[in-house]
Amino acid sequence: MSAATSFSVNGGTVRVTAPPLKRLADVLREDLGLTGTKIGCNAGDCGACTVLLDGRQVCACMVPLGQAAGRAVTTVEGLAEGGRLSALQAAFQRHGAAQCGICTPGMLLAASDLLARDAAPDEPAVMDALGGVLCRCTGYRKIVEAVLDVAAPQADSEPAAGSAVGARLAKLDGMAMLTGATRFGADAIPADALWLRVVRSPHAAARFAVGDLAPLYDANPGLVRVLSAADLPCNGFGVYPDLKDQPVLADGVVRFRGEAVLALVGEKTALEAIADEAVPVAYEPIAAVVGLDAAMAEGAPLVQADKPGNLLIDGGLRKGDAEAALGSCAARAEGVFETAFVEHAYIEPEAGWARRLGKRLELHVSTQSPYMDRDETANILGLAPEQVRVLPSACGGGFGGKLDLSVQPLIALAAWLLERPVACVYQRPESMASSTKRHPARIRARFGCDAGGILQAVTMNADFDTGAYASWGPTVAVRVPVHATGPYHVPHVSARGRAFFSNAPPAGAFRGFGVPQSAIAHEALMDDLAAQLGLDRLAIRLRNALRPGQATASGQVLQASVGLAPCLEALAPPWSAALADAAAFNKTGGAWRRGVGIGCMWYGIGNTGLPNPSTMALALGRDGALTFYNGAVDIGQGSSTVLSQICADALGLPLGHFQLVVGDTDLTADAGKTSASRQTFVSGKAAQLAGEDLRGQILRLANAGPDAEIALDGTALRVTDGAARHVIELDSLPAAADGTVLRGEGSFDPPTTPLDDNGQGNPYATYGFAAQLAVADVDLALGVTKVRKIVAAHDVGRAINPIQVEGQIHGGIAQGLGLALMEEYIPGQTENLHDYLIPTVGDVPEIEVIVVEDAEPLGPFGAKGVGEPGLIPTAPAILGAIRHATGVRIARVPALPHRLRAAILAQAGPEDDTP
Amino acid sequence: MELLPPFELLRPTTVEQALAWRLENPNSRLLGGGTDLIVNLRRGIGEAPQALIDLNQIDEMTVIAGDGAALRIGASVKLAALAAHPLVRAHYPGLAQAAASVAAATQRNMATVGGNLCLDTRCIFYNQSEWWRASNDYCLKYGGSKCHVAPKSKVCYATFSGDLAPALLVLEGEVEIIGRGGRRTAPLAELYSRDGRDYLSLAREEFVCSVTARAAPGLRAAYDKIRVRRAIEFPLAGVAVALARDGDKLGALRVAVTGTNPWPVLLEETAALCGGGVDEALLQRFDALLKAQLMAMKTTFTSGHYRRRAATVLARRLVRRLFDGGYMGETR
Ligand SMILES: Cc1cc2nc3c(=O)[nH]c(=O)nc-3n(C[C@H](O)[C@H](O)[C@H](O)COP(=O)(O)OP(=O)(O)OC[C@H]3O[C@@H](n4cnc5c(N)ncnc54)[C@H](O)[C@@H]3O)c2cc1C
Ligand code: FES
Ligand code: FES
Repeated sequence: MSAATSFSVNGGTVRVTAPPLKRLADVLREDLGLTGTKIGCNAGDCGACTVLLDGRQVCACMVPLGQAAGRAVTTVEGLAEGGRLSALQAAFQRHGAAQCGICTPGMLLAASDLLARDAAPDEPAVMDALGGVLCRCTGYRKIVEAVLDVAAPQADSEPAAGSAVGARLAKLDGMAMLTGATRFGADAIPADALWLRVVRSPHAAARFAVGDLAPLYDANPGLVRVLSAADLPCNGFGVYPDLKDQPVLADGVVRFRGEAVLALVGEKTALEAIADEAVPVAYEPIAAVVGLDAAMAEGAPLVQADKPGNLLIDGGLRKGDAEAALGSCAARAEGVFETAFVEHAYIEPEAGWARRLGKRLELHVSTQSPYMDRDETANILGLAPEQVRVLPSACGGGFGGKLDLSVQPLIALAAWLLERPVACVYQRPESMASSTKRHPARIRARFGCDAGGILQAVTMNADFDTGAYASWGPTVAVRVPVHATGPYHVPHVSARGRAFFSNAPPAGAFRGFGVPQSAIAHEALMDDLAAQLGLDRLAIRLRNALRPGQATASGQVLQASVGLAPCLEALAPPWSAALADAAAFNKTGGAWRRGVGIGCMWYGIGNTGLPNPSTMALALGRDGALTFYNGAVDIGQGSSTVLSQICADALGLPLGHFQLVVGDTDLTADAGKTSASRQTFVSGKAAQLAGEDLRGQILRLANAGPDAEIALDGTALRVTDGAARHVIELDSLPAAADGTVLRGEGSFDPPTTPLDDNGQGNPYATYGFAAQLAVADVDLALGVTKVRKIVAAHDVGRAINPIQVEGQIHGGIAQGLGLALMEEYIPGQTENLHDYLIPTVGDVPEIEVIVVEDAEPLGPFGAKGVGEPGLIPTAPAILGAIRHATGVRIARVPALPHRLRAAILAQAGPEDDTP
Repeated sequence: MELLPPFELLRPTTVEQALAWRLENPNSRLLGGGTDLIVNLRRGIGEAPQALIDLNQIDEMTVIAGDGAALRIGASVKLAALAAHPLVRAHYPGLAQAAASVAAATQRNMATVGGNLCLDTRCIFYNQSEWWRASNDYCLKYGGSKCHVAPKSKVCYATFSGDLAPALLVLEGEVEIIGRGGRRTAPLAELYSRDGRDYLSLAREEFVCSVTARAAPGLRAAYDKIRVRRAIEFPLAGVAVALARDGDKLGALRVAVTGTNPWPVLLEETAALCGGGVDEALLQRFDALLKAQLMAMKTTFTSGHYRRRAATVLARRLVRRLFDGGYMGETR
């Protein structure tokens, strides 16, 4: 039933013929082409769809079109005035308030609503106004700063040649995010595309048979094709070359709830009209293996028939004799720590579309790893990798969750077979049911030190629930033993990491690859040792901090850029102040107790003991265009900007000349995946080398010395070397087919060695270090925790772009806070964003970032990575603060109020249950 | 699958017209801000209605009127407007606090007072996608025959979780209801049936037109809720308290709780607590009342026992603070 509805959008009147109950969000996107309004949940939970209705912010996914009749709608596309960013948009750009940008339209509109009523709001007012819009990337702080700073004048000066590195530069791709122009996975789907809907198993474990599909086709003329396992030339994928254990479509057996069983392809409305129960799949449920205990039990049913004991991997590391050394320690601490499945909760659900072009296939998807997507998709379809071209859309958050395949093989297969464009956008519940998660861990650890608090021995046994398929399980199980000691020097270490299959969604990569889980264990035990010896918690860490010249648990001797000690030293003044403040606060009595905690971490940058190469290219065209071919997808962390800064300074031309081609597998070289905090370090180095290569060619052409200055002026390249001046006319040089006249290339593969049978070797070329302190108040009677402040000191080698560095740390802290206090994905249960809670703006406290620059000689301009380090120390610091406030050592996160309350009660004994 | 039946949207401008359309369309649903209804309908919860009757265009339902003694709030008033209203902030702070604590600004600009009072009861087995519920055998509240929270139960324990109801209950809230017989008023407590499934006691065609609150001289009232994060979260438990002092003694006490039972609980037998001072002995009797009247069912991912206990803690604290006058609870 469609009727015409008139309303105004961004000042102009529109008339839309559509059902009056159609969501305003869909009308804006589909009928009016205004894809700046995003959809993250379609249930009022995320705020990505926030628009203004008569000036007030509302979720457009809950407004029926009919209710908009005669009213004024403002979307992100309507904010810029006469092609110029509004003051608010400019403030967002200045402050780096948009990372991936998927929440940005909603944030801008929520803030506009506030600013229209209150031109100079205070922080609580801003937090209240933005409370309904979730952001998973920024930790909100820069967004709040931007709104508070909206009145400041715009100052956009571009750094001169050679001074891009270290500059607080706004993101090169930031403008488009602020105007709604950025195209995410669901934003540029061709109108003639068919849609694909995945039919998923409602059972965690079952055998199934697909019945006669003819009635389904007959009843639904818009249904074009039903794809099943039989349609796949090769029905297995996985991130390891030898471990393709996950079927694209299950073949008779499902191993987790939400696993893909069939794919329906057809007209969008036809697909939406098909009831789940109309699809003839007969399931025969079998006993599901749920949780680590069940997976590890003697005689447990096998999740994958050929994986005895449900064991995926058993990795370990031995240095010295930890048992003997523990025996002679003056102080020993031990504990068992458990963590839950954690959902990435990127605000953009998986999305993309594919089309076939003759013998080639094009994939337009939201991804962290275009090359892996290309190779895996080709493998599944039985094509050569070169037949597949991946053109990544903007990626609305990844955090590790968009490293694995999701829509890619399905839309690729459908488009290949049907020779029509095919699109798929996951609904939030299906995204949450089917995507990878952080591994739940059970970590048993012992730490021992001498009477002076110097660590002597560590043992760690980390067991991970890896879900139904391998995904990145081996990476986690191998990385954790290497990091078992924490960032400390320990002579005797024995560590083991195992991952077990269960009937749960595959646990994969999630910011930190298991290290955040193990950091909870090692930091709690460091606090124990400090308490036993009466040492200050910061002091014991400083005493044990790894230093240059010392060997790690894997026997790697670190020579440079080992910056934990400077981080701790920087943290010492705020630490003492916070302790004093907490003591004073607690004297006043009352329901709340204040605590201060500290967490340290180290993190190996890049893949563990595996090759890790990246190649970048920089080309000058005969028309004077300078194009940076960068295969590293920017998932919001700012790599496009950071790599350009590095490349520009290596070349010696201002950033303003740079044009970017990012992540297109036809045009850019393989830069590896955007994960493991590796892009700044690895691809950054490649970018530096590419810039230097091109510079070298130019200088040779001009016969100039290494200090010569280069300037690009149209097609004239001017080289000034002291008094000597030389002009290279680019349009007079011989050109390649694409117009390129000069091309610089750089490749970097950080020097690592594989780990031997004892886990010894140099698995990473460099490590990031950090120490954070947290101040938290706990309501003893309710078990409620309010984090008040975080101070984060991070050794990043060199901050190529301090805004991005701070942004990564803020975002990591917010996720770490979620891990500590609220996030718990229960398979089959918390499959939406109102039962699965992530921090809102009001949950993230004031954050002070202290950047420590202990240069890494291998890195570009001394830089190493910061993507994961932000998250790792946060949960330990918060848990330390809770313990300081309450005396309770939390052994299971998240420390939800009921759990913390129970722990406080258990400690106090049953007598003390008076509120 | 997501359901979006192409039904009709009716937009009456008077209560009479709304009632007439309601009578003509027995299979219709009432639409306030839609922040509950639209989400549920899309999840395939409830029979797909032929029509939605949008109550937002009826002038008399969008007005807040009154003074420091009595307040009338139209059912279509937005929660954002209620929370920001100067009269409400000055004289009915508990009400403003409750309204401001609902969801977040984005939802409060759409959400209405009527919709909040008539909010469907909630449960982890109910507020889920069609696929989710189907794969869990549906439940007693809708589509199924078994209550997963209390498998032997014949009644549904889905929890009432609206924030506004307790704040109004302690202010002697009354609802004005439009129905076949014209207008009638009823104590707000009587709007609720105490069954999680058919949670309202309204007749098929009836709807709420307005709600009134009273603030007797000297009454102090406040609302507080507990949740895991700072916004966009239903109360794990929410408590409103209104009390008056009679010198050193507790003169009057009304307490209401949301988030524990299938209805917002207006605590019974509080009169027995009045007449003396507020000391530990009294608070223990208070705890006992709460414990006896509040449920502890696991309808959220937080344990029911915790929620009941949290309600008790919040209630105690509010009583203490309001009694001591150290809280922004003074209504005059
Ligand atoms: C993410 C999210 C978070 C939320 N958090 C909270 C929260 O913290 N606290 C809270 O209380 N609520 C919360 N809600 C629920 C909801 O937003 C509010 O309760 C809101 O006030 C409901 O009002 P509405 O006008 O949108 O209701 P609607 O969805 O329009 O209606 C709700 C129900 O009431 C009926 N109804 C509406 N008006 C009338 C009337 N006048 N007479 C009779 N029946 C009527 C409808 O038919 C429907 O059954 C949340 C919702 C979302 C999506
Ligand atoms: S898409 Fe509307 S709130 Fe998430
Ligand atoms: S920038 Fe907010 S979700 Fe990515």
